[in-house]
Amino acid sequence: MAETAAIEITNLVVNYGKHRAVDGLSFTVPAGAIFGFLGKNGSGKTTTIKAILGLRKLDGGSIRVLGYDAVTQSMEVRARVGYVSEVNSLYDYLTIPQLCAFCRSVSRQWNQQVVDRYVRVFGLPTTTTVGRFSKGMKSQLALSLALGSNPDLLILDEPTAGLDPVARHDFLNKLVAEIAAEGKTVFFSSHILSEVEAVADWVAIIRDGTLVIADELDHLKQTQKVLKLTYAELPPPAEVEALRSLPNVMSLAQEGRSVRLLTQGDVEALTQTIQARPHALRDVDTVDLNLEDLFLEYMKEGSNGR
Amino acid sequence: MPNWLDVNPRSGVPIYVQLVQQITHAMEIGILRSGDQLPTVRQLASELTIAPNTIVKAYDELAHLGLIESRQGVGTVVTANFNGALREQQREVLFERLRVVVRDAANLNINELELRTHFDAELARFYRAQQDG
Amino acid sequence: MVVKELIEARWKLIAGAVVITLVSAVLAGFYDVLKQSLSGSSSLQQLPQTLHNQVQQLLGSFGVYAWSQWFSKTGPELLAVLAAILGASLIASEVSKGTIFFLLSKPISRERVLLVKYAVSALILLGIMVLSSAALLVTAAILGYPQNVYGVAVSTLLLWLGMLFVLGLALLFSVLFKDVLRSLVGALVIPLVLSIPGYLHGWGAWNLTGYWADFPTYLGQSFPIKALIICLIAALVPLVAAIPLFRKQAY
Repeated sequence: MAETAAIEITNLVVNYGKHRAVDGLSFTVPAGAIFGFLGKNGSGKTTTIKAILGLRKLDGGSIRVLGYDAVTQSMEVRARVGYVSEVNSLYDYLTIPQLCAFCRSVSRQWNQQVVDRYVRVFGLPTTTTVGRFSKGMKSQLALSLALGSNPDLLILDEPTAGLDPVARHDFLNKLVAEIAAEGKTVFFSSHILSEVEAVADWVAIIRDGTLVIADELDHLKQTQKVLKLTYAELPPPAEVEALRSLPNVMSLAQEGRSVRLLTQGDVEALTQTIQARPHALRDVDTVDLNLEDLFLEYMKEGSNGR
Repeated sequence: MPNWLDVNPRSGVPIYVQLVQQITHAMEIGILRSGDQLPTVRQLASELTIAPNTIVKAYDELAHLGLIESRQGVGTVVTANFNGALREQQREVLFERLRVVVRDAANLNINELELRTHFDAELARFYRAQQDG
Repeated sequence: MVVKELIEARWKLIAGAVVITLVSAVLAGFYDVLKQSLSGSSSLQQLPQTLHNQVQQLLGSFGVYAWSQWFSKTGPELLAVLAAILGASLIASEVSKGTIFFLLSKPISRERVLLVKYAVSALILLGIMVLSSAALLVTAAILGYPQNVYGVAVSTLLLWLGMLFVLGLALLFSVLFKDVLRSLVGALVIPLVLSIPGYLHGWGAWNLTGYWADFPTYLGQSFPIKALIICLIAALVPLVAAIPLFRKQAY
């Protein structure tokens, strides 16, 4: 089944008792993307992933994974998805061969050679029980096992948490080299912006259970800019408000004669529109934003996300 | 091969744009020559630990600019005519700069006559120097 | 998955097997010792008449002794604890360790997960019970007592079904509470409560735990159709209740 979307989330609502962990979340993960799912801790990332995998039920909305409904066809979803969880979720009294035998018995397809190759590449010991592994080794093992069932979609929940920078880079490198190059989709949640920035080609930012933005990272960097305006004289409040309500202006901050706009879309056109306005400008400066800048801007209160 | 490639993921400039810029620059200064083979998407993605789709985008852009092409059985290579394509691109960049100058001058309240006078003066100075020298 | 469940339960299995088998063997072995010490002692004469009769009855034949001490008292006590421990940790320990996410993210139905776990624990219980009953018979044979193989076998079966009830209950609580301790307590308290009718005069038919150790069965007087059916149904009820509950649980 050829689907252009690996994951389609529509108006997802998930409650945690009285607390609404996910509140009307909607976005799409295109097939073949490396999709980074960003947000502060507790913003609903893990809950969303659990809903995708059928570990939690949905209190509203729908999720489709690889063309299957995540609620009514959960088995089909889980048969095609490889999951690497953030928690220490592997059975620590088993050795790697025993764990492989277990995985094989509960998976629809199993490719032991792929797993063996990664165990070898990562240098993991096959005679010690998993409980003795370091956190990094467990992550590496979890990834190796997830690849064993030949998944079309890999879902990782904070996979490099607790890894030192070298191990983290190594992990991502394997992920990119093996999975992404095969055209499989990778969906991973993280709060480490730098790794998402390097590896992901799509990002979504979630805040308090709702989507702030979801877009191709390159597109975001090319279209989201900061415009720094310096006025010749203090601009009147009416003018500032007018600026704030211009289309493509996401947020505005003012300090005296200095106005800082977070903008999207055609910056050129917007700059010209602003320069055409009556109040004289001494300077207009465009600033590129990297992911961290964007993230911080979006996390601020009062920014109108798309 | 790509030890001259230095991508900064943390930059506000998209990675694929950086790749295009750096590969183009490599052609300008002669690191890459006509017929040279570029690494495969997978190799480069693996070496730099960036998404393969990003590499694909960069390669697509370079192909669009006429600088590289995909050859059956060989891979991605620098085109024979890349110098021509480069020059074309550099011309585009230059004319863009001209556009910016015109606009900035207008913003500074330099009128068309004044700007043109300065431009003619520069042209005259440059070409006279050529004639004399 | 079966192998993994067995490995996970290895300590409970070993400890349970060793302790319970030892107790059953020792219990059988002590018959003579007890009989001699009590018949000769003066303390026996000082007991009130009803108690005196009971003790005489108890020690009167090995069969009665074995039944009353093992199948009716110590056996169910120890085995119920083991069944409760096995059952309580089936789901709850995976939840507390975090491995439940790994397990449930695989393409395996929740029914299958529950049934396989239950089946492995049930078989562990059966194995240990057969072992302990065999130890009872072997000890009896060695010491020259009558061996009531049929009675022991059927009683073992009935008691196993009874233990499955405890196991099922523990499993049910394990699914509900996600907490090993509370599941354990729940699984032990309920059979205790259910055994109360046995102490009340005239309520004997309502005593579930009584059916697990049906005396006439042991004596080989009748084949316990009624007891078997009751125990079977009782054993299945908590399991059947646990399945839809587990299916609905969110992790």
